[in-house]
Amino acid sequence: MWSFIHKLGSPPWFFRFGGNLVRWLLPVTLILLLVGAFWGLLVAPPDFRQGNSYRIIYIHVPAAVVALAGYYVMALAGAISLIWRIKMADIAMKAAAPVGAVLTGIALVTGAIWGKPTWGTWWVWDARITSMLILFFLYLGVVALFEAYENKAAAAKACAVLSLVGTVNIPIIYKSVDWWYSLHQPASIKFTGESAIDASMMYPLLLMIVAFYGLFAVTVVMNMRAELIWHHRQSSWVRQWAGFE
Amino acid sequence: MYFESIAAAMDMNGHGVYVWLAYAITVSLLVWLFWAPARQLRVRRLWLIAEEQRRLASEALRSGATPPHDHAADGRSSSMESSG
Repeated sequence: MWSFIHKLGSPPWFFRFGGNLVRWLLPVTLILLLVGAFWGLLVAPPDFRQGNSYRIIYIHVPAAVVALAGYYVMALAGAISLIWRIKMADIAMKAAAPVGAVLTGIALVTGAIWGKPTWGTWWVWDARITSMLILFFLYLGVVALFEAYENKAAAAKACAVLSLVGTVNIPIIYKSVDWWYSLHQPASIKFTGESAIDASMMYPLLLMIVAFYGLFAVTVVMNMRAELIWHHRQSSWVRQWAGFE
Repeated sequence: MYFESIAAAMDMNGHGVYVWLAYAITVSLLVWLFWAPARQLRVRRLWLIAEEQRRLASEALRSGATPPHDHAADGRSSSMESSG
């Protein structure tokens, strides 16, 4: 276990491990996404109140769930970077930020499109939606901050602090539908107690959530590999990979 | 299968526009998410190869031997072809 964690910090080892991971996880993720989308769009029954517009749930909820979980991953990498100064944690943080931003963007855009036929408006300044918008800006802030510094160590430090401070927002997003009177519906799937969603709709939703987790893992590892190559372009293992030496 | 025809699946009782628009935007963003790092890795590999050719060419010049023809250009074109 410890030797595995130790190896994760080794750039050439991680580059190879990540390449193998992407090779099998990428096709699995794509198949899950296709099956889940087909199931949700064409097989599952319509909602008895919202009709067919609810089918947006199969991308909206997975994108939002993984955007929130991904923020914890990014903040954890930030904490590791601050405490132990591990370069790999900086690279993981930098790789996770754009993926999280895109997922949050998907949740916001699909939510707006879903809101139009359901609530009669594209946008409301509601607690859930506003806190999600803040999450979007936090992700974009980390992306921009990495680019703003010449000094890589200083950039990683600033990004780590920003992402750690931003974690305050995550429980607010989770609890926003309970704390404030909101247009947004509360969670349908519960770990404890009965879920407020029928099995015929829940299975494709769970499948899509798993698929989006896979998508997050694959794209973050792909970003990390591209970053590692650049970071270590003077090293012999990169030169070997590129085909000389 | 819930829908009886392709037209019914497109229309979704009037909600089709919203549902298909949401899926189309999501698909295009996800395609970009997968494509961007794959392209970045490819571009950086080509840059490394080109940089290595430049280094070799300048070393050859410095050692005094006049190259019979432009090795750098040769190397660059052949390496571009081999890596697709």
